[in-house]
Amino acid sequence: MTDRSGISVREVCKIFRRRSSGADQADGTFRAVDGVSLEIGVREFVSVIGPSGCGKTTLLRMIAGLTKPDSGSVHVDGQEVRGPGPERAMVFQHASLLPWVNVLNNIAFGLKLRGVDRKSRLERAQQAVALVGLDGFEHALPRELSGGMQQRVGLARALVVDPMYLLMDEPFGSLDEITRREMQAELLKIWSKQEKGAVFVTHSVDEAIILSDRIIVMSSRPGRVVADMRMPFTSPRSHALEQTREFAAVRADVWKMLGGQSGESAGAGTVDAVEPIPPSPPVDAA
Amino acid sequence: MTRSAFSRADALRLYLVEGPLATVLAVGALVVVWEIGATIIDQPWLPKFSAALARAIELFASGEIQPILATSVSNLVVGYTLSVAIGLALGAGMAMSSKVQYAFRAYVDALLFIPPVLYAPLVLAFLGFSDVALIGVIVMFSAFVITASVQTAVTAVDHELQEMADAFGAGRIQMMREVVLPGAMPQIFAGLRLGMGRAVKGMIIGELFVTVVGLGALERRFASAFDAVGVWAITMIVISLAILLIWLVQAVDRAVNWWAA
Repeated sequence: MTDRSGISVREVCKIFRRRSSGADQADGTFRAVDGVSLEIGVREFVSVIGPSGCGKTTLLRMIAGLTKPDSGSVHVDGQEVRGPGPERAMVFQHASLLPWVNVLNNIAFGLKLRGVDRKSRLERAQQAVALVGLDGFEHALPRELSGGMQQRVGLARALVVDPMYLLMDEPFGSLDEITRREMQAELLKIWSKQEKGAVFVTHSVDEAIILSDRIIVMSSRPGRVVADMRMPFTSPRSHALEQTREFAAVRADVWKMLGGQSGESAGAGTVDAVEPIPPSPPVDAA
Repeated sequence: MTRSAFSRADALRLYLVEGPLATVLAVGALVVVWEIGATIIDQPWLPKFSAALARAIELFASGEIQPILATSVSNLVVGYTLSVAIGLALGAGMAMSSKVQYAFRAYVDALLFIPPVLYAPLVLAFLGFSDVALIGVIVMFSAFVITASVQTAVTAVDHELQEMADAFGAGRIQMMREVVLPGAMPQIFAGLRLGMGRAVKGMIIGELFVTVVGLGALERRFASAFDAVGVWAITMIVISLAILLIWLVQAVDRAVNWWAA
């Protein structure tokens, strides 16, 4: 694929049927994703953030080709998405490792599915082991690993197939705060060496700011984009950012978008972090 | 940093050493109770364990039991193999296709719940009083419990794993080979073990009806002669055979599903 035009989401809608309560529409359906359009650049790291049920995961799954939109379309590098493809790889919320094979074979799984022979796929997996810092655990079974290490395996499995875009669905969501920050630092480090695009779904504002070039804020029911904010920080980023006033300002802005979704002129573009906002206590400092 | 990972060899060693040891202890306890109990009660229907054991040994020493055992076991092996094949194909088919499920569910349920003893005579009459008929009875006893287990096992495979494989571009066959089958294996083996137990039952019951071949026929002969020691000896041989076979199935289970140990 020579055309590298990024990911283009055009007016996608996804309607789910609810059996019992919770339907927003009279016909027992609700709009998980309602007319979302997005352009994601080739080397852009974009986070999608929003309250639970805002359709951020559904949006990611449509980009991944795991869920079909009811209307609208998703294009990746000019090609319409009709299913999963080799230019995209996914990192899952619950690592989703095969419990019956060791770390090395789990990392090599995507390569195996693509018919890469045993010798070279294990070689490449071994390199990925080093990349995500799992040296010494190549032959361990997933159940012998901590949650953070399992996510490292999941990340390595996605990186090793060398995709153009990495799709991450709350990959650190089920980790404890300390491990989570460790993994964020790890991801930033890995990312500084990659030339890939990323869509990162999260419900943590700080995580989104630290990791992303851009943050998409979504509202729930219906799932719509309420803000598209370009981060003012240049990469490479680190957790040291959290100490800056600018970070606090951006964080307050994102929270405002998340909180006051219905009011104000939501959908504004760039965040201009000028107003000094009282520094919020570093609640999540490890 | 090196790490001694849990391996297939560890899983097998655990099983091959600890399993038989526990069995020997449990059976040993029963034997002691039996021997003492029989001495105290002193009834013709309950000979001492030592007497029954002596008769079993005599059956082997005289060479009388070997051909009988060979017939029974060969029927069992064929019948069980067929049952496993039917169970895997039908169970997986029912789990993966609702059409297959609707077509067979009623039959599998019926055959699972109706005691095969009820219709075993019909199977025997239909297939003639031959080895084929005896194998048929074994299949009737064991195939459907395996089918039901395989269906449950395949249905229960982690959907997140299947989705992961889907995202990495797995085709239908890859999905089956790399995710569904390995994931279903532990539960499939639970069914294979139950199936083996029922296959042994089917073997004996078929032979009891036919009364001309196998362990069942010998049992019938002893019973009609009121030879309690002989009946107990046969029972012991059947129990030993069953334990050995189930232990074999479990050994294969451990070798395949070592990661789940």
